[in-house]
Amino acid sequence: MTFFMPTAVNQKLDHLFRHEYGKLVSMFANKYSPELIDTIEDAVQESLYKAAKLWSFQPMPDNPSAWLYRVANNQIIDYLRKDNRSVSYDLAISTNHIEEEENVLPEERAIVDDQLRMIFACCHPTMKPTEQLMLSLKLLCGLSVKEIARAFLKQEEATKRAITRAKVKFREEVGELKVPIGADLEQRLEAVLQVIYLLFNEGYKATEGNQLIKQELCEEAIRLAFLLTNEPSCDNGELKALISMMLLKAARFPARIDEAGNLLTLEKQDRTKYDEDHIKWGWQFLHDSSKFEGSSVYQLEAAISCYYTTAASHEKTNWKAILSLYDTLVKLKPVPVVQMSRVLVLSKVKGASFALNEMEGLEEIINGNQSFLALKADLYAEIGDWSAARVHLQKSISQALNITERRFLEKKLQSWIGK
Amino acid sequence: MQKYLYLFRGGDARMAEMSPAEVEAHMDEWRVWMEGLAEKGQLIDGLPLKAEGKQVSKGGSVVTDGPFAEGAEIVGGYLMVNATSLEEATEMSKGCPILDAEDGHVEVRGIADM
Repeated sequence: MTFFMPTAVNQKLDHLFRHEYGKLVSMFANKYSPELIDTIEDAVQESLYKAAKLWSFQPMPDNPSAWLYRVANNQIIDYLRKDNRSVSYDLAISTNHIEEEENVLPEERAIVDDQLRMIFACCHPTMKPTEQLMLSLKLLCGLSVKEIARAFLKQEEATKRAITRAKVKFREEVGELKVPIGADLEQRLEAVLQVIYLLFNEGYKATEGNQLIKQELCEEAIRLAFLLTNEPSCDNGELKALISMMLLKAARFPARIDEAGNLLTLEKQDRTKYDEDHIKWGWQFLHDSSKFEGSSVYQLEAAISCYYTTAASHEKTNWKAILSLYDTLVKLKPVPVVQMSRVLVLSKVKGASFALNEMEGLEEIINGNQSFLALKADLYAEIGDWSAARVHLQKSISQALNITERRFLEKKLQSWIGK
Repeated sequence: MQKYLYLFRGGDARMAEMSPAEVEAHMDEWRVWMEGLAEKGQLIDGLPLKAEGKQVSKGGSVVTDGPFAEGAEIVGGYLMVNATSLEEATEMSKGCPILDAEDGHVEVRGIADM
């Protein structure tokens, strides 16, 4: 039972400092207390500066983690001494002898366990989902406030406030770090998977922003999910299905951006660029997830991704199979994005007018949804009703959230004028 | 060939604002610069200096803690290099990543050869 992650998937995660940050913060939060999170973060940050200065001049030691652990740990002990907190944390710093031992990096398995407990702590039920998401990125993945703000296209100040709020709850509510058991586990695991799912989707969303950092969000989501596979009580069908879905979607990353840095939609992607290892492992995890009872939302989404990613070409996509998966999914999860995707697939199977008819029952959702309106415009264009197409496209433009989207739609509208 | 000493000052304030990923990227810039010097056989030795230290004066009767200077004036590290002239040594120093920081600077000094 060691930390497992396919090498082919893992090799892209070359972020030593960021990941060391997350590992060390988790280890010290376990070793000392979640209450000390600010001190812990400062100490870990400080150890990274020291390391960077030293390793600029001389080669990195064979075990950089052990070096960082020792330096950060000493820093925390210094702080506790100065602050006279040694009474409450005397176990950790009572004698020099223990201190020596305390400076030895724990074994791999213990480090994995520390991070597992930390995942559950960051997804504590007193926090809102966005707070859970941001806190996980900060404490487990080592992203700075600035980087998180950039990834979510949010103001730095607002992000900082959300993280500060989450940290107050982390300090005051979390208490002892542990992986919950029994009925508690079920509920908390659901929240954890949800956070990983949101994290992945935030990175995968086709919106403007730094693509590199968005891709990193996806990689972090996958990494956290793989961490969970180390805990037998968490390693269920839903987790496997979630991993499968993420791998199958992430397989498309190399084909998603053209040379000019523009995002390409599915039909324009060069499928030979899809990452075969991701597909292979995604397939494997989908297969493994089916050994568990019942079918989850994640499993349906993984199966849909699987059909999309493994189709020989966009035209040869098995739309019928995808539609039947969406028919089930829309019942389990009747949210706009699922309904819209289903309508799109429906139009591929039964034609645009059939899909437009189907949309009549969804007016309320469509009118407030920019991409739904754009789809409706496309379907009208497909059946040759250009005036209806233009009206809907205009409505969609008025709701576009960002400049890239608006430009894309306006360009389309121009090409529709006079038709 | 003559030996020259680079004394590095400043840059710490900027580093304190960096995320772990940025710290790592910064370290890589230094490493690339130093490897460039090493490949040309111009790098002799160098290390960072710790912030804490002692000042000894008055014939050894007065010992105080630490460098007195402001953050940007404290020598944070040194490097010894080979160069044919002070001009070349100065030119070489311009690639140093510490210069990316507003308060970062390099002092270039020839080492007296008796």
